[in-house]
Amino acid sequence: MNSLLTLLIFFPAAAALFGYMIEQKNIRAYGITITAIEFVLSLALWLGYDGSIAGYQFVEHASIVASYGINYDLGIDGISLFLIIMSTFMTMIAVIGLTVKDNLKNLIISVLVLEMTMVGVFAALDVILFYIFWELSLVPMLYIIGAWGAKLRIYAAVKFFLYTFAGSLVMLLGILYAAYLYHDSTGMWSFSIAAWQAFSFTYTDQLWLFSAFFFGFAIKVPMVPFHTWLPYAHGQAPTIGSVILAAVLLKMGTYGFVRFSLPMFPDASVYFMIPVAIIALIMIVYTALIAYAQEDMKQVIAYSSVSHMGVIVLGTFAMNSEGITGSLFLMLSHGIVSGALFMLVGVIYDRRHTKMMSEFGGLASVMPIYATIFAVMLMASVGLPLTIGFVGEFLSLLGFFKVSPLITAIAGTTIIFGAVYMLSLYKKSFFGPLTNEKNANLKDLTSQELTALVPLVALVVILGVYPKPMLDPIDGSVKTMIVNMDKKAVTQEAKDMFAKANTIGKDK
Amino acid sequence: MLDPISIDMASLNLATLLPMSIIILGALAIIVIDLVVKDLHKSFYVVISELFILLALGAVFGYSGETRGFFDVMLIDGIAVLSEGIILVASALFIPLALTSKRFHEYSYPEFFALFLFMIAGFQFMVATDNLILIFIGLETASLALYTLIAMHNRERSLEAAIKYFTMGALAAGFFVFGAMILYALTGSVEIHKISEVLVTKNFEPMAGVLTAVVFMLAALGFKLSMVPFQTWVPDVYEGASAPLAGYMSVVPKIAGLVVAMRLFEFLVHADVVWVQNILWIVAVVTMTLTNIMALVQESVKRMLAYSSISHAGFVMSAILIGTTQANSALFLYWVLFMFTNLGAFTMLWVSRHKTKVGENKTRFDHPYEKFSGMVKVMPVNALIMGVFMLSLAGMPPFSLFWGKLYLMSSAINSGFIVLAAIMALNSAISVYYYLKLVVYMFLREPSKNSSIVYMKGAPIALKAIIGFSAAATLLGTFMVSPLLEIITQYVKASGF
Amino acid sequence: MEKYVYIALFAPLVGSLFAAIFGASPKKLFVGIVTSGLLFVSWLASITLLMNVHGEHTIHVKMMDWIAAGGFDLDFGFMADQVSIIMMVTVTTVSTLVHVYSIGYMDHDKGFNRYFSYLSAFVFSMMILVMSDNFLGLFIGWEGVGVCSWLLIGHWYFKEDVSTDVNPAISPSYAANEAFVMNRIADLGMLIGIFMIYWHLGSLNYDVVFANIGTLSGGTITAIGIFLFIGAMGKSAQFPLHTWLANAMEGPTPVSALIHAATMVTAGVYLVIRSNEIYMLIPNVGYFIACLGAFVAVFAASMALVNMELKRIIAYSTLSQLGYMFVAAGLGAYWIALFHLMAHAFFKSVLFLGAGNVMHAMDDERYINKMGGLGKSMPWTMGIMTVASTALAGIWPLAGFFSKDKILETAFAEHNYILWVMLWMGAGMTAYYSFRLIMMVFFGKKNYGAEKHPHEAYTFVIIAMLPLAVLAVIAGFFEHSFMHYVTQVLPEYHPHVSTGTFIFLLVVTLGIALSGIALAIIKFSKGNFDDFFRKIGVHKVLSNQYFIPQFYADKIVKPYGALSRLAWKIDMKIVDATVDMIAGVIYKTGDKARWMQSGNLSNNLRWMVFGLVILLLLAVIYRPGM
Repeated sequence: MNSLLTLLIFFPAAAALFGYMIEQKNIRAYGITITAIEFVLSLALWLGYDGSIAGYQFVEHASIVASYGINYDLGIDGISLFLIIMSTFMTMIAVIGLTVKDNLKNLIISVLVLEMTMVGVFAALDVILFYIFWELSLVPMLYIIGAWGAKLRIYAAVKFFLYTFAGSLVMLLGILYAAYLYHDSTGMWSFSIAAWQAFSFTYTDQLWLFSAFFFGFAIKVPMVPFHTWLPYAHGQAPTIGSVILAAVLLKMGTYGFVRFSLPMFPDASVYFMIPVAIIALIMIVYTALIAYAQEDMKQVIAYSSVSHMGVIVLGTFAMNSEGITGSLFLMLSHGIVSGALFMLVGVIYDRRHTKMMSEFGGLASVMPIYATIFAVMLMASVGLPLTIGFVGEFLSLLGFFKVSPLITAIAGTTIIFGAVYMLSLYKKSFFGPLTNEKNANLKDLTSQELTALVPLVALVVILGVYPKPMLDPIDGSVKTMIVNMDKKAVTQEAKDMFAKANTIGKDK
Repeated sequence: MLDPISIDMASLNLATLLPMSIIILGALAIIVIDLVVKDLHKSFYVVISELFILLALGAVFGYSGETRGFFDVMLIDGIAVLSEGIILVASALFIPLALTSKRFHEYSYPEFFALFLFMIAGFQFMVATDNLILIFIGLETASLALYTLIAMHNRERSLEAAIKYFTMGALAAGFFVFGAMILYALTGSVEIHKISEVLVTKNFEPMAGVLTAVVFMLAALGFKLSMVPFQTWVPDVYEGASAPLAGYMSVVPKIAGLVVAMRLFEFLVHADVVWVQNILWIVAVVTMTLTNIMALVQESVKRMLAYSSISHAGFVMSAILIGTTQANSALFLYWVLFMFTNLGAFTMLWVSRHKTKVGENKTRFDHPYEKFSGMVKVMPVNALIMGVFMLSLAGMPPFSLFWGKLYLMSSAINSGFIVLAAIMALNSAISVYYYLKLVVYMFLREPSKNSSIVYMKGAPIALKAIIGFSAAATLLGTFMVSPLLEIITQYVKASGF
Repeated sequence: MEKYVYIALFAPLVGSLFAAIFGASPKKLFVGIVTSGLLFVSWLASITLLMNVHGEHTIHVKMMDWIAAGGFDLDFGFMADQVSIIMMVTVTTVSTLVHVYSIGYMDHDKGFNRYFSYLSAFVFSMMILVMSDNFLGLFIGWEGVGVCSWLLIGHWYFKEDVSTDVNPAISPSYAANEAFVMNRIADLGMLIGIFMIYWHLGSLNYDVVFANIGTLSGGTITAIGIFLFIGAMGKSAQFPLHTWLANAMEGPTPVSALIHAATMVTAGVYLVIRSNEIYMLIPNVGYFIACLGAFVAVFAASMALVNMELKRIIAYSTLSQLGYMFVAAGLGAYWIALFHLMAHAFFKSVLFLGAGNVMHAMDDERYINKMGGLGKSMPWTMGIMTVASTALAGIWPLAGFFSKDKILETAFAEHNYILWVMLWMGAGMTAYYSFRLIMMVFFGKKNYGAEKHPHEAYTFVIIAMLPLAVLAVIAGFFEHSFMHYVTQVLPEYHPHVSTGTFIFLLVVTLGIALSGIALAIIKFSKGNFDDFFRKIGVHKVLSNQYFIPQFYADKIVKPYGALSRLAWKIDMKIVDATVDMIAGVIYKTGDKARWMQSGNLSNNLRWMVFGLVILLLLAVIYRPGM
């Protein structure tokens, strides 16, 4: 079963093509079926994954441009494994929860194409291949936001597209320059991620390359001050768009840091550690503040995503496996939780066609089940222990604490600010007397919505209580990565930092 | 007393003339046929010319190493073959578009096809020699034919366009001749390889003279390649010419010009005459950037494509100043891929052409953006294809043109032109906006009322075939790149660029 | 034995989940019964452990792995040593009875099932908190009780917000959020403490940490101690994080009894006691804790002197008693702190439950000046509350006497005479306000309209209260056995004072307590004594809680809102605007560049010539590299 990854990538695409033949009214069933099959396939990936092996598995190789070293290289390790599974899972959930009526066929098809690109990004082991999927993912998302979105949808969609496209062009420059350097010293062309991870760039080159890649990733994450496309995208996108955007697309950026920036440019990563951490800090505090000021439910969650991504970035740059593993786990948990929250907002939007908190209040008494699930997700999002949200957040902060207690202490305010804006959101829309007549007889969650949401609730609790099955493979790969980073680091500072970040007790 | 001129036929090596002769033959044949038999349907002529083009194409790929012929005037080297190939393929793709179901009377004249073939021959001569005089002759033949072709579209706009093009072309020709003259004065030769030898031995003295010559040449070619500030004619002419012809003009004359530019400037670049390099740098950058920005504000898709093709030309110009084998290969790769995509795009305009006009300023444009709004709802497949063309032009992976951009930018970086590469990246970032604009109209907006009359109403199979072909080429570019690159690199290397 | 640990721990969870099944459906009596039953089971298990755990062989169970990443490896481990067992017994005892009581109290509440689900969930979290064998496990419980208290304070979420002069707590949902956020602030401190412990000792398990804490530098230990205590300050509502507790009274009264008197708020004290190995190494921090405790003891008591809200008075009294506990813990008398914790749990919870009866009888009237003379109609309640108040006031032979007296004795023995004086005054105030309350509620003339018909609570409710009342009376006599039991793990401590001093202290302490009671009884039997405070002008300050809540509202909450709106403006008007501006500029340039395209032939020709000339000029003037 060595072509499993290829299957995973192109099955949805093929399905999308055939989708045109499907009868309009059956298209939703079709979408669910396909995404479900895809999800099962990705689970097979998990079954087949051998945690004891360091390095990439399910590796596939074929040549694209032989003379220029561009190949069709696929493979996964603990880092990408669960991101793939999460993508397929969230896509499935999103499609199940889909309530769009008009032009549904095109929507399903673009979601399937999008799924292809998402899996592709996480499975690619060739930089150009990665870049191809990375860029291609913009197109279906542009269509989804722009065609099914709210009033400002076109502005939002185009902004999202241009912004990320511009960022990734800078990254492309970095890629080409890196390839040139690689060719310069090895005499052969290669875009293989593994090769680049093994190759050690000189210090100054690392600084340049790191910055170039940083642009691409930072805009995707999005990191302050490149984040302003996100509120628009989320605010305008249809529910399914927001779900996938928050759950998966943002993670591409942070995944990029783990897959490229750290292992390829360890010294630069150490050099930029504190600046990046400070940006992350701004993300955490500043956007948490903004989230509190919002009147639109969805915007609150949109900004809260940025804030949480800040924690992820912080953990990633902790340079110890506590932090990095934590941040990777936080990517998964944030994917699930924020996805769920966006779906929940979608639920109320379908009923009332508004997301303004001022329109609500006292929902808890009319929609108890909805309120309960929302509360669970809320608690997960503020990182309550025994929910999925806590594990990642705790580990990320724990990891970075070794590097800089002060920064971590400030970053830790996320657990306060997070509580502030989420609780005030909950109070405004669910608590208090039922003032607005229109809400008087809203009906509680439909069976369809429950089918979509209950699995998420279950995951939130199960993985919160027993995260081990995911943490172990991730941690395994992260440990190997850190060892390699330490090996290829050229500056003493970097080596010292790795030593410091990974020792308990007195620093040697 | 002078010796009797004796020519050894072998040394003439007439084989080098074969491709052009075939084309010319075809042209003459069409005229003769027209004399004999009246009012044949255009399809007849279309097929005839198509056949001759294919014949010539076959003749081109009899290539075996660099050869000269016909008093060493002809020069068949790698890039000659490549460019002839591009020219012929582009023409082969163009001709069937005459089979449109809509009635355009230019196609009812057999002369149209004759002239077209003459033009091809002209371009072939341009690329298949390093003799400035022959280049000039080829250039003029082609241009004159082209002027007429534009004019034959026969709407007051096209006449205007033809006249503009003609006048400015004349001026450009003047520049060319003047430049050639100076070079001759400096070196006593009109053959580029000799010129370069002499100049090198004289160590480019007197510099002023050389540079003046270069300047005039640059101006002349700048006109053909529509380099800023010699590009002002492009939008009007494209607007005036029929869509496919515009597309054709955005590809074929340019490659011819580019080849000449390669022959003419690269030896200077290699002999690191920094001035030339810098000037080329400036010209390329200004061209790609300025026209890019101008394209942003167009309301007509056709004009937008006009500007964008200028920008693309500027983009590849940079290959010449980089001057490495990789860069030159990149140039050809880029142009092959560009040919498919751009011709495809213009063809889409062609098939979606219709009499009644839509959009705010109805009077002005044939192809305002509004015309395409909501296309996906009306004709999903067309919208999809057009979208693919746009994304490809924007350099969106994995569509074909992305690979051209990638390879060109990397060639720039590999020879240390980091800034240039950065500007290229910046430009693709800007350009994506106006390509996206069309995608937005097609996919994100609601169809306009009179959308019924738009889009390929009963487009004949031939056109569909062409579109399908270029769409496939654009979509699956990824798989063509590797083999293409093999061949191109080999040929370019062989001809010492 | 291990199975008892699991039973004690998970019985409440089962109950909670069971109740949750019926969460959305209308009241089901059996839900209350089942959950109470399960808590009783849990209680039995705890008692069994109490009987069987002696000396060294404390019980330790590892349930399953939890988090493992890098060097960090932690599993769900629980232990039952003397301290946690005492806590378990206290918690289960009170909560079982509160559950039973609630069946009556929440009789007509439409959130009946939901309520019991939350209540049992709270007990479960509390059990995790006291039984965990590591700091992160404790943190689970810590946050868990926080959430449950959020849910329970906000049980009547549908009440609307009102201005603070109508109701200082604004609304249940508001109070709930306030409590949660306040605790979160403290939790951050605790989290940091946990981080430090991990990075210095590589583990969070108590035994490992306490075994190696000595190896660390004094500074580090001090930091750890401080951060952990910040966490404690939040949960135990110590100054300045105290305001939430009074507002938490918005929740149903049994909740106040269980969570905000007996158990959750004492978690902070538990933490300090549990970490005694750490705090013994840093006496200055201990001393600070003691001082803060003493301050709160007086500070809170003073606010209780004039307040008119029945439950608030008791809440303040809770605050001040917590202060007492911290004094003991801070001075190293851990077992005394624990002892007072237990005793307090009993009499304070029953006091609250009594208050619940009263408010129920008065149709949820919250102000004592609108009561009076209720003694006739509800004798049992009066009796129980009087006993509880006496215990609270620390009159011999009731529980409060032994525990509180020990604390004062400790303060004296440690030569912290200032502390002693404060505590001594505190004792007086306590006695006063307790009996002021009794007097205004049960004696004097009726201050309520004829529409109210006060009635005694259900019999089973009274029965549920009796055990606590009894414990409030007799708990004191177990002092010595208690000491022997807990000092198996806690450090021994005996306040060393000569018999003479001991007698003296006894007398003065009892003296001030009795005089406080006497003052209250005399003054309130004929009219009202609050005017005295008005005269000396402190009434306003006290009744407004020293204006601290107002200060928080004006100086923190409001500015935070303003700041966040400002940030949003910046984001839109500056950050985002810049992005659009860049795009705009490029676009405009394009617009400008159009004039080049005049479409006029002669212009075009001019351009070409212009280009040529420029190039020629360059050829002449520009000569790089030669």
